[in-house]
Amino acid sequence: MVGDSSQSKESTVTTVDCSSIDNGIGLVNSYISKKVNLSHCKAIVISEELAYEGISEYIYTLVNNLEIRPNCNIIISRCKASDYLENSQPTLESVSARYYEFTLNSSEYTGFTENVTLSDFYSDMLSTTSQAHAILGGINTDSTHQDHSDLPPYDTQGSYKADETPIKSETGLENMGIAVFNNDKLVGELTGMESLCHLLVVDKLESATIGVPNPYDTNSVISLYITYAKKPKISVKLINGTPYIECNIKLTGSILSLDENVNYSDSYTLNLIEDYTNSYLQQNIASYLYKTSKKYKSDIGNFGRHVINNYSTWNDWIESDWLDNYKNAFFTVKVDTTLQSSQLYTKL
Amino acid sequence: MDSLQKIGKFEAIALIIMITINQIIFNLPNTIIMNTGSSAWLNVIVISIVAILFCLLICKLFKSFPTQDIVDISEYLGGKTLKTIVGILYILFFIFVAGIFLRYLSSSLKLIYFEKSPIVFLLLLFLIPVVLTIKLGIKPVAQVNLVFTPIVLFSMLIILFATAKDFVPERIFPILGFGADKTFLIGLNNIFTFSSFAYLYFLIPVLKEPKDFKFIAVTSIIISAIYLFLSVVCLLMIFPFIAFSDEMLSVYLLTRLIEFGKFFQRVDAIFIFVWILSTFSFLSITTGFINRILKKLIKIKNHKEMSYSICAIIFSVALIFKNISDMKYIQNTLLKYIVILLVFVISLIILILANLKHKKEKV
Repeated sequence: MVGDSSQSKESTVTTVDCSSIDNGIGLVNSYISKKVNLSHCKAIVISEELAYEGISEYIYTLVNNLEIRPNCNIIISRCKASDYLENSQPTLESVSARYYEFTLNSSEYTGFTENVTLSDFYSDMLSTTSQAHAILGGINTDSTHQDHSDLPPYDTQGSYKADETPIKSETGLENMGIAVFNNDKLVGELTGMESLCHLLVVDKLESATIGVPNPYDTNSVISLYITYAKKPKISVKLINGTPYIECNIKLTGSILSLDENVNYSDSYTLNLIEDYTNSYLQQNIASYLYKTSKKYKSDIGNFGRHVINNYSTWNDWIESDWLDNYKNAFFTVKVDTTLQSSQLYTKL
Repeated sequence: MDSLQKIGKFEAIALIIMITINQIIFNLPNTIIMNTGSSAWLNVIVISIVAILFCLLICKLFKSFPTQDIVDISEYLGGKTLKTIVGILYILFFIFVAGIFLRYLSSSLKLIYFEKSPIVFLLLLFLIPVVLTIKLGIKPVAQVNLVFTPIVLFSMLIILFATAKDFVPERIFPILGFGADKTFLIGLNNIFTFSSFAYLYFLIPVLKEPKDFKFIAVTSIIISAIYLFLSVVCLLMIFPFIAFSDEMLSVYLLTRLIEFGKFFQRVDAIFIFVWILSTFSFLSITTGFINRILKKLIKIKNHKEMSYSICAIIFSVALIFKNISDMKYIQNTLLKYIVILLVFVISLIILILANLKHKKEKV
């Protein structure tokens, strides 16, 4: 558990082997001079290893706890949970609790993960229309860095998961990607770009910066700032019992990069970049959707909610077994991006 | 002196609304949802229409008795015996409702804030002010309640609007929930959530203008129905598991989700405070009505002193229950059928027969 209203330098990490969360807290209480209170708990970190075995027992206990707020975050750590806490070094914030709070809010402007709360996780875990997912976290060190130089430059930025990004910083903590669950068991992980696609589909993207292929130089990238132009339209049809899911996403944005050879005030150029952006995002979103459907068999996009109104009674709906049927789904994705030119300059 | 204890129409409306709001806090929306599933909102519309029609019917039936309550009408119909039976039944009902509600809220408060305090202290915390208030009569209770009601109503609206960001509208589907029969037929049992009719039966003699009874009854039932509908819809749209889980205070779960930006979080304490005020009102109103019925049944010089014994009995009833699951069981089974039988069947039969007798005598 992460949460400490005291100064970060005064925070301590205590680890205890125990049979249940409450027993563990009891043991820690007997060991330290103060009573552990979870009222200011900002994040619950669960190791990937434990998540693969199933975490419903712990989630039910946490949800039932009066001290823990439903808005505290759920992080699935790619390393041991104790390592995650021990190695994270809060920077730019003097209070640890605030540090975790603001770090997890970064999804609002990066889109590389989703701010999943305990309440969201619990609701999704018990829902018949969707499956649970959580923030993917890790400790970024030189040894965990991944080299994705073989990928095209526009694909590298979002190809990392937590702890893989080649970044050098005092902060070891990295939250990137989404941990995908089937019922209460972890079944897979999404990368930063796949998480962004997930946010785009579920109408949770605030804004993001993405790199798309440069139409004039395939070895370079054009950086775009994107946000929704309209709410995404999702339609789910059942064709002979097989889900056919259509996603229509309308985006707006501006070009952040500036290139002396490209005139961003020219409508042809803008249309060309828009087309490249659309096809790039369509491809990535489709890839994300098929990954959740065919590989993970987990409807974390809550598509079930678009089909539940086709059933008149609860029994009919349960018999349809949407969560199992999701693996048969096929998708069509349409992205329509409108670029508002560049920012301060349109041409050099 | 008695004329000084008469209340105006807005005080009366507030009084009836407060009863329903307390029912909402007392987890009744959750009971409806557990019975009907995702069609609970449809069921609330149906039972609200039935409740409004029922309300119009009793207004018509009370027209022949413009200054009497159900106990007076029972006396008219069946003499002192029927009067005593109906009076005792309503006293027992009000004591039972007050006792169970008091214990439920006190147990919830104990769990949330006063883990180490004995439940007896919490029960007394509610009952002592009630004893003191009720000695002043129903008028001051209604006046104070008129101040509390807008606050409580506003707080309920804040809960609804502040949690709207988490609404998933598709959760109101499948439209027929656990089935058409459970929504429209068996679900009619959920009319028990309008137990505020029990208070309406005793309202006319305390009204300044008994001719306003119809306006008061219909307005308060409509407002109660709207709040019941909003709370059910809100719970359905937020918690996908609500039809199968059993919460202690489902509205409290909603308040835990409320946060205004990064600065105003954990505002549930404010709502608990408002609910404590509404509980004071509810208990005072109920005890006030018990006092009035007792006054009619037994000839006692200073009936206001009876408030000590009434509160002592409510206190004892509150202590009967071993735990929350006992209370939940009684609320979902016994209380439901007591309300339907006493408030919607026996009282209606008495009113109809009294009207027939009245017509016969006229002829």
